[in-house]
This record gives sequence, C-alpha cells and structure tokens, in this order.
Amino acid sequence: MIEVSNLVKFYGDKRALGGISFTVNQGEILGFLGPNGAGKTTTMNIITGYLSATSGKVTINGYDILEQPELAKKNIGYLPELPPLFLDMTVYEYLEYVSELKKVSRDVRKKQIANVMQMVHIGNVSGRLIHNLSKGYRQRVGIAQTLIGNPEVIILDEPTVGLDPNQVIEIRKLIASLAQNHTIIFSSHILSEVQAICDRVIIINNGKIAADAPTIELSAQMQGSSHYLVTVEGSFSNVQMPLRAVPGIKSVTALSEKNGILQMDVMADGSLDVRKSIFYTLARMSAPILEFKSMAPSLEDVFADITSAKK
Amino acid sequence: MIAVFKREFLSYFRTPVGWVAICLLSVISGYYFTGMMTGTVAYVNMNLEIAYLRTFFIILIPIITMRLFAEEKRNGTDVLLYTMPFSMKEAVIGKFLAAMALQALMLVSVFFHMIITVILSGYISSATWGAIFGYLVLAALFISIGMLTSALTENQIMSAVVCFVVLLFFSMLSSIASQISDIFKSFLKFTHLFGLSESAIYSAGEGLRSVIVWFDPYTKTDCYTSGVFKLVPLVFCLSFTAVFIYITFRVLEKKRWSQN
Repeated sequence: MIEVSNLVKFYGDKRALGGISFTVNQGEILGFLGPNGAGKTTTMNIITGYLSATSGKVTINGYDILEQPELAKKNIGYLPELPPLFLDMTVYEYLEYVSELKKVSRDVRKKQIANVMQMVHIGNVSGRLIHNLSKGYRQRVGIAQTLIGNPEVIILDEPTVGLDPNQVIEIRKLIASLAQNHTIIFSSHILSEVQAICDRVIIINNGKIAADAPTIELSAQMQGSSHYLVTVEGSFSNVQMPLRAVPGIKSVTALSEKNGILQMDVMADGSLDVRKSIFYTLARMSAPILEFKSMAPSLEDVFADITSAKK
Repeated sequence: MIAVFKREFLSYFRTPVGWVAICLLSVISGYYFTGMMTGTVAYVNMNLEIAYLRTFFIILIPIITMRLFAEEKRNGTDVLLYTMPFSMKEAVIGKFLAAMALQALMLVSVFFHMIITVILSGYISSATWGAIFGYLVLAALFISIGMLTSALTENQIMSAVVCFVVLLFFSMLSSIASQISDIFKSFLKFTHLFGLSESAIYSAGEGLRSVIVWFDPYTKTDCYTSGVFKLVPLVFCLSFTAVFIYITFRVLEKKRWSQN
C-alpha cells in the first residue's frame, strides 16, 4: 500500500530525516510516535507530496508521489496538525470545494458529502461557518475533508492536539471507526494514544526509526519493568534491604531524604504485582507510607527499552 | 482550476475586499463621469474615464492580489493545493482568473455610465470598447505581478507594499525615462566621452529614453484608448503576464523542494 524507502531530508545543514524506510500494508493502522521535532511531520509531509525529500522514494499503491503525483494523491487523505480550513466558508461549502479539488464526479458529490458528514457526525453543523465551530468540530471537519474522494490511505498528523479530554475520546473513537475501511497513519507524541488505536507502532527519534513493532510487542516491552514512586516516613538505610529482598523488586533508589521523609523509586519486574508486598514490608519496618504512585513509562523510557532490547 | 477560481472569486465577496474595491472604483468613476457631464465642456468621453481609472491600478491591484497566496500560506490552507490530485498550475491560473474576473466586474459602474450616455443621446464609439480592452490587458499584467508578490511572502501587507512599489515604478516609468535620458545627455556633454556633437548627444539621450519607455505598459496600451488596435502592446502585455504567472508557479513549486 505505502512504501517508503530511505527518505532523507535536509533543512539547510540540519538533517531532519536520516534514511527512513518502512511499509504500511492495506488495512493497517500505523502509529507514528516520537517527541516534538523527531521528524514525524516531515515524513508525513513527504508521503503526501507537500514536501519533497532530499533523497529517497515514496510510493502509494504503486504510484510514485513525485513521478505520478496526481494518481498517488488520489489515494491519500491528509489532515495536517493545523487543519486546512477556510473559516469564511460553511462546512458544506468547504467539503464541496474539497470534492471539486479531488475531482469527485458531480453525480456522486452530494451523496458522498452527505455520507462523510454522517460518518464524522457533523451533519448538524453543515450550514454553519467554520469560523463559528468549536475546536473539536473543526477537527471533525478536517477529518471529513480527508475522507472526501474515498481515499484508501488516511494520514492524520497529531489529530488530538489541543482538544479537551472529551473531544480527544470522540476523535479517537472516530479514527478507530475509520480503520474498518482505510489504511491509517496516525502520528502522536502520546504513548497511550497510539497504543489505544494502532496495530503497529513506528517510533521515530532524531529523524531515524528507533523501533518498528506491533503494538502488542511494544506493550510487552513496556511491561518489562514498572516503577513506583514511594514516599515514607523513615530512613533509606532501614527500608532498602528489606525492600530489595521482596521477590520481583529489581532496584530501590532514594530520590530524596529530608526531615525523616524519604522518597524513593522502586523498580520491579513488570510481570509481578509487588504493590502488596511493598506495603506489608514497609509496615513491618514501621515506615508508614505517605504516598504511593505507579509511574507510567515515559516515551524516553520506551525508546531506551526498545533500542536496548534490539541490541 | 474551476474549483479554485470559484472559491477565490466568491471569497472576495465573503470578505469586504470585493465590495470595497467595487465601491471605490464606482465612486472614482462616478466622480469623473459627473465631472464630464457637468463641466463647462459638458462633453462625455468614456475613453478618458476608462484611461483615468487605469491610474488607480496601483492601489486596487495590490488590494485584490495580496491575499491570493499569502493568506493561504499564513492559514496553512495551502496544504490543500499541494496535496490534492491536481497540478499547482491549475491553482495559479484559477486564482489569476478570479482576480481578473473581479477586475472586470469593477467596471460595472462604467457600463452604467455608458448606458446613461446612450440614454441621453450620447455616442459610444468603438474606441470605448478598445479602452476597456486595453484596461483589461493592463490589469492582467499587473495582477500577475501582484500574484507573484503574494506567492513570495506569508505577509499580505508586505505583498501589497511590494506590489504597490512595482506598479508605482511602472506608472512613473515615462518620467523616470526622461530623467535618465537628461542625466545621460548631461553626462555625455560633460565628459566629452565619445566626442559627440550636440545633435548626436541629443539623439543618444532620446534613444535611451525611448528604450526605457518601450517597457512602459501604460504608454504601450494608450493606443487602445485612442481606438487603435495594435498587436505589439497585446503581445507585450500577455507575454509578460505569462512570464509572471510561470514564475509564480515556480516559486510555489520551489517550496516543496525548499531546504529552509
């Protein structure tokens, strides 16, 4: 479906992409994960033909994006991070304009716009100016725009950025529902979001692919170890050894110790739930727990874990 | 192309730009027309009115062209033009035609004046149609310049200012040519560079002046206002229009390859 081979992009002296290659199969939801500035947007811009790579090749359904741009672009619906909306148009006018740009035949245009509006639940605002819509609705209109022309590939660049939690949930549901009929590339810098939606994850960092694995594999990697932030009343010398003796605990590190209050990082084997054992051990040592927090692994932790596992 | 043309043309009327431009030209032409009717001569010459309106290109064309690409770049909607299954050439031509259509529509007041003239038993000569033709040919050239300046920046004001300066230069080209010619003549006289006689110096100066004036689109298209059709001004204006449209297309395509 999509073949990206050896993409390199330079902005002046700065290398934004350093030889990225991957393929996306039909019907797959690929999550593009990475911190800001990692090269996600640049990659997406090159795949959609918005930018050209310094070197490398992109083919969509067998069509080269540079040599047969019109045929390749017919297969793509793209929503950039900033949705390309004309605020002075109504939702319907805008979608009609996009269908004309995508050369959707006049006979099916009306029906297709109606279907798309129903799919993304914007039928109730079709006559309203985009300027007067909430951010969530604008994002939906942006997604509707990608579906016009019924392209096989949908590319969404951080579609949940700037939305409130309810809107984020709605957009995620919407993306999941689109996955039934489309191949989707979806970028985010939020780990849990990609995990919730995607079949496969590509982690990109400093313009290079740090990991390319099915989401299940990534999750297993993340569960390899778990961290707990524990604050107790007591001293590190008293609690360190008994905690280390608990089966499943890999390490105990003091983060701070002040006025008899100790804060430590407890790293445990992800396959075992050691929370009860920590509680009983600390109770036995007369070190009352003031705070107990399970720490989700950061994106950096996952990078480190996955890249070290690959070595 | 039709989609871009339609959206661009209608957007002039979704914002005040189209209305303001039409009103402005109507007021100016109305003032001139009334002046002709009520003046001491009381003689209506539509050609003069149309020729007079050409002098306002330097204000109106920057206004109607500044947003063509600069606004799309600023709002991020240019992504649509780059990622849709159609050529950037279609977008450029669509936008150019939309601005041309508005420019033609702005002549609506002139048509009213022509109707009034006819009703009052006046005479509309074929030269008037020539003047309208010349007006549109000149507008095409200037719109292509405005479109290029809009493609070069994200800032509409900057685009308008640059376009204004370029059009101002063209409108002053005749007087600039005379000044350069005078300076050149004085220089030759003062330095005795080639030992030229007085008449040769004069001829050289005038030659230089006519070379510069050759590039003056206003002077060039004056023939149409007088009702004389000449092919050279038409070819001149349309060739340069095509060149500026092509450069606009290249500037936009360059963005795809930009390394900045």
